[in-house]
Amino acid sequence: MTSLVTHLTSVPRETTGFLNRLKDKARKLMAMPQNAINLFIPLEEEKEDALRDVLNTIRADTHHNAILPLGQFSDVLHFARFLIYEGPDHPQEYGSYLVFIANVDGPVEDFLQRLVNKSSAGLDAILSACRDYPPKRRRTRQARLQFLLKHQLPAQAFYINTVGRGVKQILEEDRLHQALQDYLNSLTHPVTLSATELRLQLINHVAKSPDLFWALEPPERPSLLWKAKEQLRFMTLVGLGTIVVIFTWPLILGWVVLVQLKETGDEELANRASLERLNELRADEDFAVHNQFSAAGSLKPGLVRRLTARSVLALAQVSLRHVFNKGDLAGIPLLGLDGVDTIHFAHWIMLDNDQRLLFASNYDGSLESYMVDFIDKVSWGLNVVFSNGQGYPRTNWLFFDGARNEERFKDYLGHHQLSTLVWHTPYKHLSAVNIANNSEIRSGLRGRMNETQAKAWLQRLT
Amino acid sequence: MKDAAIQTMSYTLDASQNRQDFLSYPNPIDLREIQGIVARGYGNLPAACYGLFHIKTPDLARPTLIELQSKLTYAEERPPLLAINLAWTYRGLRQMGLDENIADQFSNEFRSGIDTNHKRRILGDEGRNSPEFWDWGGPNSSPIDLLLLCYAVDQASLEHEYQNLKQTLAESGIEEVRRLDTQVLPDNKEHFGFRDGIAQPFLKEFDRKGRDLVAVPLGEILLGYPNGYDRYTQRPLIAAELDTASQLPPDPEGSPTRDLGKNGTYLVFRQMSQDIPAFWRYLQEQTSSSEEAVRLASKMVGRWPSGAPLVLSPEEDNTAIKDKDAFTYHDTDRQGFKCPLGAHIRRTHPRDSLQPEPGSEKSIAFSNRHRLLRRGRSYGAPFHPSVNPTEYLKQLSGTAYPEESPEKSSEDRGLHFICINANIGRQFEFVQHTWANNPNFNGLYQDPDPIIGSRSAYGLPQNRFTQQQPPVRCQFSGMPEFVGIRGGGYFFLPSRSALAFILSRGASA
Repeated sequence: MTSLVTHLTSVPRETTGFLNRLKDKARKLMAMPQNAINLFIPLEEEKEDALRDVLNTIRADTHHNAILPLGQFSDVLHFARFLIYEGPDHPQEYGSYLVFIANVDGPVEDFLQRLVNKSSAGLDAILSACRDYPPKRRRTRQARLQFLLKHQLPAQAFYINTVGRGVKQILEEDRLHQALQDYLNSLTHPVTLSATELRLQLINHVAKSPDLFWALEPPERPSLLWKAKEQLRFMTLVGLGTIVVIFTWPLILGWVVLVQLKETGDEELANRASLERLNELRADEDFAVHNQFSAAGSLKPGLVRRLTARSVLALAQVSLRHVFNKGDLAGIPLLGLDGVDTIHFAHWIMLDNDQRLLFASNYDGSLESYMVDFIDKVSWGLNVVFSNGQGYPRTNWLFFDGARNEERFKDYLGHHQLSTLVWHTPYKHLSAVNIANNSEIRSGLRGRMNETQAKAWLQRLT
Repeated sequence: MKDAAIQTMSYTLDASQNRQDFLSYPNPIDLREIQGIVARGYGNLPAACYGLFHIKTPDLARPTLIELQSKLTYAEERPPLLAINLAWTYRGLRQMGLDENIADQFSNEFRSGIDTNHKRRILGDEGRNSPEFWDWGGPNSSPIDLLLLCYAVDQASLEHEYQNLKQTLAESGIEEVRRLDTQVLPDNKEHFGFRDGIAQPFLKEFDRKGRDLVAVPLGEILLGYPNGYDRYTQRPLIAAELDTASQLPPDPEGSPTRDLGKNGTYLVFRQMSQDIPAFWRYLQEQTSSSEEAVRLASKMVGRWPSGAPLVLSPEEDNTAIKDKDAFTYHDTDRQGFKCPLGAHIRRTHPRDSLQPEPGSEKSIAFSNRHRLLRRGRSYGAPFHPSVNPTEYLKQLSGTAYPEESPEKSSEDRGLHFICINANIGRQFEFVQHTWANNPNFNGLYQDPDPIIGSRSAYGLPQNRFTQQQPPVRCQFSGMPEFVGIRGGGYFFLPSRSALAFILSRGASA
């Protein structure tokens, strides 16, 4: 991939012509519409303080600050964060990383390229604190891009609330919602109309408004070809998985027993993090409808845990990409399992040769509501993923107990949460439920509806 | 340990045998240990005041406070004439020398206090409600160590008792910071003109009528009992050897420690000033008749002035409804046509209306992990003696009524909101932030709780109220603030034995 990008950026577009377009198409077909950026870049100890100052300036106004105004990317950039992650291996040695985590529409390389093109000075201000950042005279766009690409880490699992819904669409549909609300408020007697009549009136209003007209068209969605490819991928994985299970189920069962046996001997964290630490973390929360959460923890030692963690994350990734991709995380009505509709994006990243796991999410509400949401609704999901972490509240058969031990779980998070130094949100007034509702409002502008359907649709304009 | 258990049982039996008005069956909890305000609101004692005190010299204060213990009222009895309860701030406990290692085991919320920058953000205590402007409990007013809750059968005996107490305390360097008076309004109403105090969490351990309702686990309201997750909420547990007088109960979870939290709990106090003219004037502006104004106000509350819930009586007030608490939302009013989705009571106690699986027991269990036992009282003279909205509206329409300045009206009347819960973060703060203040609650966009919700969040104004109806909602905007915050704090309400321990020398290592 790196060489492809190098190629693309070094050769002028006109000369590559057809071949390039073909490559672009192929790339689009293979890629997801939303992607995770995870950059981990080693820092120079003596430059960390200066970097913190730079990040504090950005933090004051992530949209318009003078260093790296992220607002200029609001057509493709959803959430973004910077943090400083303290190196793990040798406590006596400095090993901190600058971490940049973001979720973008379109390929990661395209975004990083734009970042380099538009904000090279801002990037320099941040990255000059990093080890091996090219010296001033060698800082070309190319060199900067290479540096960023070199420090990418893959997310072992990546949750996208609704695959295919870009930030542009979210902001446009927010505008549509507000315009429809204003229009409704301007009507004198909407109560006298039938639902069908009122809906037509709203559609007419949209059709007549030059700045809303676009809403009558469906949003840009992944192509049918892309969807077919995703289906095929999913079927193949399910097929392969079934074969694996059929042939190795005694092994899997034995594995689960082994994990269970290990679990009973594992230490669980039994104390709270210091109040000072917790209050420092709280100081960065609740400035928007949603919040950031970043946490890192060590995996329990040994091959069994490492393999369990890897397999669980791989399984999670398949279900996140192919099943839980429409606004509901981990809800399986067939099994009576409840889901959560408050998560925008989440990243699970293995670090340090699988010794640690970093988790980063963007969720609606306060940390308290985030925690009880998960404890109450999807504790099994938390358990299966995080019980491989040292100190996690004791689980039973991988799925049970664990996070249901409310206070132990909250304490565990308190110990592992990381301070997020900069956090950017392009739509701070919208919850995931709002965003989904806005999309439904838009799609209800098209097609026929009977009175009952029209009534239900109008109730979305709440 | 066995002895302690036997002793507990016998206390209980004694209590229930001697008091006809209480439980007729043996109760597994020791009512002599629990401060009375947890079990009852002292409705038979209409005169009440709250005293906030500051301990100047702990050594001088100790003997007086030890003596005060015998005057406190516990849950075993329904006091006919007088009741006194005592709660502590974290500062107060430290002031009395409670060892840091013990004090550190109290909840994070209690230790942090109500006015950190983060708490201000989530509770909505910003702008003119900032703790800097509070009459008490903020950074610019005197520090508070103790809260004395006094109730009496009439004003004269309250006065007599409180003055005596104040005198005694003052002599030992415990200084009154502020006294907060209360006012009983007719028909159990609050100042806006609505019946208050309905829909309390049902605790079967305190139920005097033997009702069979969905119970809230005792551990949600008291420390030392299993909570809504069937676990014991964080509380101070201390080494047995520190409890030299062996006065504390053993840790119910079975560790060799003693439980300083058991039968105690947290008390949240918020002085809410209510701007009656602002409320009813706004409703007048939005409607064209006094019936419509009352109707819209009821939509905002979720109940009619009599307390009749809109879900049960959507079209008009109905004083004939006996059980005003017997309803759910999902099956009867999923869309909010009767009781709007953003109405005050639908947010602060959503019953079965939220995820997971609205309409199910799961949903009710979820709501029940965010319950508050409310014990507050109104203060200040009513805007009209009848506390009747129609009279309010008449009074506001009359040209004779002078414009009331916001400062004056807020000083005049409101609610001393007091609630009791075992986990301030998951209960009080959650209800205030995730449900009341949250403009995006339940799929809404810019709608705070119309009565108590903050009118700004995330740097944006939040002042809409949406009334769901066919074919399309009716929206009200530009809703001003009707409630302001004048003071507040987080308190610990210790058990009888915990208080004795705190006041003993053993507590300070």
